Amino acid sequence: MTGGRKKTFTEKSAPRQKEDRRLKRAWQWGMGLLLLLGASLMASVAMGAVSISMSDLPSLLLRADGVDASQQAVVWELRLPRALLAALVGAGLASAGVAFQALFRNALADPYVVGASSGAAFGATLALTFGFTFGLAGLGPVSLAAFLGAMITVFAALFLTEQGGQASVASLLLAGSALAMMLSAGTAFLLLWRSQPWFQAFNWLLGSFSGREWSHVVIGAPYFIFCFGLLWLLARPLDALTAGDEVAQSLGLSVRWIRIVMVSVATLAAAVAVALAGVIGFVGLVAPHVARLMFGASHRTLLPMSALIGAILLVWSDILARTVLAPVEVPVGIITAALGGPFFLYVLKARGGRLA
Amino acid sequence: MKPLLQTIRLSCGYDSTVVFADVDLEVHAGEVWALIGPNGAGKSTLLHALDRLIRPLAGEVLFEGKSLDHLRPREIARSIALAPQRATAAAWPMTVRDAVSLGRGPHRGWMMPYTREDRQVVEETLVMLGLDAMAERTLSTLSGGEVRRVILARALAQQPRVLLLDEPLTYLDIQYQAELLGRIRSLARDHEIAVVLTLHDLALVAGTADCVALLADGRLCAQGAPSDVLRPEVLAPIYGTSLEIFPHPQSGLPVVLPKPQL
Repeated sequence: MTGGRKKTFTEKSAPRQKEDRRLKRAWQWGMGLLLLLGASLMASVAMGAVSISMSDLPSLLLRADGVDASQQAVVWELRLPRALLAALVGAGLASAGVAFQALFRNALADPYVVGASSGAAFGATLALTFGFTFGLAGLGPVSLAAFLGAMITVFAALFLTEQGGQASVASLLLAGSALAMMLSAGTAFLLLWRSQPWFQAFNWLLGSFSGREWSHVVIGAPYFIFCFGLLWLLARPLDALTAGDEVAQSLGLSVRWIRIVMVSVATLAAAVAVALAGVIGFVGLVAPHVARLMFGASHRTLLPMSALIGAILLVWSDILARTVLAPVEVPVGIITAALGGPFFLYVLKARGGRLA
Repeated sequence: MKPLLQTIRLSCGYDSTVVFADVDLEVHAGEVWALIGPNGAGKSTLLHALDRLIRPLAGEVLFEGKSLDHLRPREIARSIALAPQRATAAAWPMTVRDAVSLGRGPHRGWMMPYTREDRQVVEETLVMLGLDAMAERTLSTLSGGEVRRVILARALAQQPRVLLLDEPLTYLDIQYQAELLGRIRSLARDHEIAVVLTLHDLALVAGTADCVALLADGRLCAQGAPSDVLRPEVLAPIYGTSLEIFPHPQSGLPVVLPKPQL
């Protein structure tokens, strides 16, 4: 096989042209989604209790001279960081969802189902309740506790269901769900025990971007960029893993190590998302599915597309969360569940009850 | 001639159960070996051990005289390819081309983009297995036989020196069986590849393989040319009297068929 092959390709065969068209189409879609995300961010900045006209928006964003100072404050201090954070968290949750679905080869895996989100929420609530003060690697006590909570939960689910080096995916998801329910109950208990107002408890358990500032964006962005970058670099090993452990291993990949690294990175992304915005369901589940339906299962394309779709989804969910019951804010997780749940069931039904 | 792949007193098993012990095999470049044996004799386990997917309990596997213990997984993957029996790949809408391209991973490094050469190897492999027309289709839309060809194509895209095929003929209709057997033979002959395949259909063995190894009762019971292994006195103790063996009318090679038990 090392010898020369007989046939050489001097011109592109028809399938190759088709492949190039597919790549070009993916690029076009990617750019389109990026523009859509930009437009969504603009919309998010413009919409709300203080309505801002689209024509004023550019000068407000550029902090031009002579703009209304109070409007400027609304745009720069309140809405822009909040919209950006929603985009970041959406992208992070979607990337984590892609990774979990590929790692466990299961369409139902997402940061919520495998227990990462509830573990993170429980950890963060513990830190808040007992006033932890330790930090590590730029993570404040709450983020660190969220990460540890998420890691412990996911690896506990893995440990509980692993037998002889093989984890049964179905029992893993069941164990993750059971742990998630226990931890959500624990989180609610802690919040009520310390007499937190009910809406604060709600905001943790269902997620919210209420009152988020630039500092949250600054803390979150490096983590999300790191996690996304690492997952994207490992996109092809993820492809190989979806083809089966046997295949991945015979291709020279250390399945065990890739699993550990990927689970940790995806859990970190989910944990940071929870630490910044509470537990937001469905984004990590729905965005990867939409992306997979549109762009196929190759992770080099799937990861960025899912991230973009997740970002757009969460930016719009936050807009709705702020406006449906204005002046009251609805936890954003209610919106994502209301949008994502029916969509998910529709996809399930349309594909004959199976997602695989 | 030095063997390309060799096992020395190889024993494998899971946990404390020994599946087989003391297997000595010498596979040379250009040879096609058929591993036969009853269900559960450890044929797939042996293939996995030859690809270092499992660590042997004792003994070792040598590639070109070097123990697989001393080779990195990626180095092994550049020389030895496995086409597994089952395809979990069908679970996701991965395209045929993407699935076959995975075979280039061990050569290129998993984070590098595919080069021109990689793409060319993939295209040629797709053409060779008649998959070029369906290259952009997703695996979930393919039939069982087509998926089998994709699995084989991925292994071939690794450009291996040793090709391990786990029941390559399952799900294939007779036309593709014939075609695939021909391809395996020509790969071995023209490209000096060593092929080791497991077969449960004994009727196909003699026409496929140069050498046969019979795995049963936890050991290698017999090995050699088909006419030496496919004999009543060798097979009867293992398969019972439920088979009949007669020479092929043209080639004279032994043909083994099940004898219906009344």
